[in-house]
Amino acid sequence: MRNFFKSVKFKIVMSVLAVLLLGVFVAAVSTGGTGPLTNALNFALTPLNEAAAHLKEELSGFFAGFRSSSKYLEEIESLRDELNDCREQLADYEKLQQKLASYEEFLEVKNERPDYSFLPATVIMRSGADVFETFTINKGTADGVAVNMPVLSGENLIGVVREVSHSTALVYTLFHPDVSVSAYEIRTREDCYTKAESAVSAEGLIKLMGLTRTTPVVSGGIVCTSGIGGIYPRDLIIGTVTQVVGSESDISAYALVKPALDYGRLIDVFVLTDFEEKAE
Amino acid sequence: MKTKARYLPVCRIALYAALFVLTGVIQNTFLGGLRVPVLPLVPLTVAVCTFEGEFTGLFFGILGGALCDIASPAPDGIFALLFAALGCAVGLCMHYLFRSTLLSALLMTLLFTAAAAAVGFFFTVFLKDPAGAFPLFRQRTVPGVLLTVLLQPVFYYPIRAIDGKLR
Repeated sequence: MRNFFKSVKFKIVMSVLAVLLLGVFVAAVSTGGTGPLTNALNFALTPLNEAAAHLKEELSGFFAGFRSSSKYLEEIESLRDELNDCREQLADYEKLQQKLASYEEFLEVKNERPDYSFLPATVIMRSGADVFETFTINKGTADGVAVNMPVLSGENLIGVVREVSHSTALVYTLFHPDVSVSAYEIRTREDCYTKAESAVSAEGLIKLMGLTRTTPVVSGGIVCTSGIGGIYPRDLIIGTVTQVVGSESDISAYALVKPALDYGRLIDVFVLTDFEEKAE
Repeated sequence: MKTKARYLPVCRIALYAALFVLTGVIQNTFLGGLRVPVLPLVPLTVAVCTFEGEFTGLFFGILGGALCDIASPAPDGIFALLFAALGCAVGLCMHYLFRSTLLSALLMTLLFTAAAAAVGFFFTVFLKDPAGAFPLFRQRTVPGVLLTVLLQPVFYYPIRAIDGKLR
């Protein structure tokens, strides 16, 4: 092995590693966050990844037919629980009526937003090394996608574009600790903001911070974006409150919010390229 | 006969490159949505480095790492750098310290995957939320590392066969 360290090969190895290290620094300071090697690979592999994503979608439907009896038992059990939940919801009819009214109000607001410019995109990659359900879409700078553009599915906010290459973009979901959104609860109008923490994100939940100890926010409340900051427009759905917890360290409280969609199963999304109150 | 022998290494390298691209696409699409991070590019890189040595291992390490980088939220190029260094190290260890057996490859895969997963975890989770990082590491990253190591025979035997046929 000593000979290797004295050989020309070793010098070449060290030179290559130095170039790669330089590439990491170049990518870190570049505006899109991607280096030339990743850009080139992304450009070359996008059609292949799109084809594989399509194949995965087709196969998931095919294999759904092959299920064991224990799977069915689990499903029966979960359906029973669901039925019990529905009974409880029926008993609390008045509460549901209120919730329905708030939903209708929200939908009316959504219909009044013709200023939104959408760009349809498909999820083509998910990082195997990431736990925050980060994904890559098949639209990049060539299609007009830029960093900090919100990504939606229907009226639900999914996340934000954080890195862009020529033909792809990396999207951080609301589960990512780098993503924080100013929000409000639609029934009480209480202002708050989302804060993802890895332990909570692992459970498929997001923390809703900034609530007062005596907050009127209750489980079942719908949380929407407030539009403060100019990155996300107002009134996009973030999720539903599942629990309100008093903070142990101060007089505030926080709520746990469950997003309406399973980010791991998303295929088609929309990039919101422009809207009226967007910050320049 | 001489012409055929001259093209054998080219065919071998091309086949390895195609395997890397295919594995990369599978990792970033089919396996990307799993609850635990599984990185089949790691056992493939180790298997290639085991038979090809440190120098070829370096370049296939760059390819494997770059394929991880394109879907990862970690700083761009970090996996290419890591895989290149580890690929070269695996090639050196296999050449000078170990025999090219499945057991050695499994051991190398365990070390390689642990290093890759730890670096990925450090940049994507620990730096963002140090307080809640450890439970997540235990619940997701450790099972992911073990699952990745178990994939080594899937790559070791085909790479050994390719190496035997096309060398």
